[in-house]
Amino acid sequence: MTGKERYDRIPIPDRLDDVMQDAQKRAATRTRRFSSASRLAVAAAACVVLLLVVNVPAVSHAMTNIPVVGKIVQVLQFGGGGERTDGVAVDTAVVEENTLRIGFGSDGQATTKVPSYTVKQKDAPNRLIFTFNGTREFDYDKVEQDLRGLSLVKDVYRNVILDDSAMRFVVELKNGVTHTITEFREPAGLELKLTQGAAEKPYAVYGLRSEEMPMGESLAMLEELYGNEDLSFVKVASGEYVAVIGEYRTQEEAEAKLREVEEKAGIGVGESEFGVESWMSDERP
Amino acid sequence: MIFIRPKFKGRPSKEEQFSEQLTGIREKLYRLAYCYVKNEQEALDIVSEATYKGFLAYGKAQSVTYFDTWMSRIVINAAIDHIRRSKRSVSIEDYGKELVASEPSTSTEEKLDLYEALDRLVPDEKTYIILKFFTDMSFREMAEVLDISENTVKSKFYRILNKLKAQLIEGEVDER
Repeated sequence: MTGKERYDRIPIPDRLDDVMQDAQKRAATRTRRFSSASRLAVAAAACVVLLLVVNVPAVSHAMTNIPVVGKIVQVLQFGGGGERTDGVAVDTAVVEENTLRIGFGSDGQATTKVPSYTVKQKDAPNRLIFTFNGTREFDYDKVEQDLRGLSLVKDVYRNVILDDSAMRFVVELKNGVTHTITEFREPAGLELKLTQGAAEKPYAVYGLRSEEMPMGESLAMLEELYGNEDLSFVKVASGEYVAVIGEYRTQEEAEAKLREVEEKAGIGVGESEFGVESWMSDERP
Repeated sequence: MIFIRPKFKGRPSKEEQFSEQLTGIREKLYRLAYCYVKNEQEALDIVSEATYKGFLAYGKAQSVTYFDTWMSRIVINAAIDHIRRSKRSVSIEDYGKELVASEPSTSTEEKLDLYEALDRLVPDEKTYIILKFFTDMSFREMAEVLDISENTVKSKFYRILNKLKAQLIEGEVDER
């Protein structure tokens, strides 16, 4: 029998059809997930532009002075509070060294309650992630400038978020810095107070991270695709950003998490946008 | 008189087009994959990977003129990747057994058992033998599948063939 004859007689397994159908289904699912994320990202990008063009002057008119009095609603380190609002203006003022007051206003008057917000705390690197909802008039540049003025703050950067009425930014703190957040009402305010504690000995952290990319649509799509995971964006040494899932003390835990993420997403091993990487807790991935 | 709008069947979606065209060549793609690994499960893995990648790429492509050629290229790349990942790729020098000469004949294919000879080739080299002898492609068609010039295909093909012939001769000499 010639090679050609042997080739022609290679038996075709019964499973071939099923295997090919399954592969098409997996690809179709992935295509749909990406396209819906893309649509949202494009909408968000348009809203960000609108936000920058339209709303900045309104903020300066809204609050010329940030009231520094008020009744304490709660003191927290992470979590959330406030209530649903729409179109609230946001401004900041440094009230004492390493204490920043965030004020909220509408129609030139301070609001009585803080708009809905969350604060997440992450360890490697030491950072706080603020998200405000219902705040279409957000003078982010002023907020960033004031935060950068605090000596215990290492870096501040904005995060893309697929919600045109929300604002998210990251405050990276120096090693050993602790914080408290106090929520006030009548008038509404959030006070971030930073304190230098004992510097923690750096340790190795394992996590899932994406490729480096600019802060934009691609990262927003990752958040959309892996929204149920503990995903955050971290600035890296090059000035670009990565999406990070989890912070573990062992490589095995991180690898198990990667398998879980891929399984949940219905994709094969090595097909997600993430890989396992280790970095020091006081450094950027 | 009431005019009833005829119910036209819409143009098939890209997903449907892909699926339909794939059905016609599925056996060919499987055999192509099988030649690289000679193992049913691994060949199915390769075809699955190629189908997945092909589906994603087809959705983004403006048009795919020669679907058969295009999918063959994806299967070949998937097979080579698969072997590299499995670290099964072994250089030709590493093979212990010699080529077996079949009954004396003038034809290259009859002289060499090419199906067996595949086992002695690195993945890239296998491609040329499979496409030329098993799928009966012309050099021009091979050039399209591999996305290289026809002259490059010819020179690589003859180099691989000469290598196999040299091994065959060495085998015959050793037998004496």
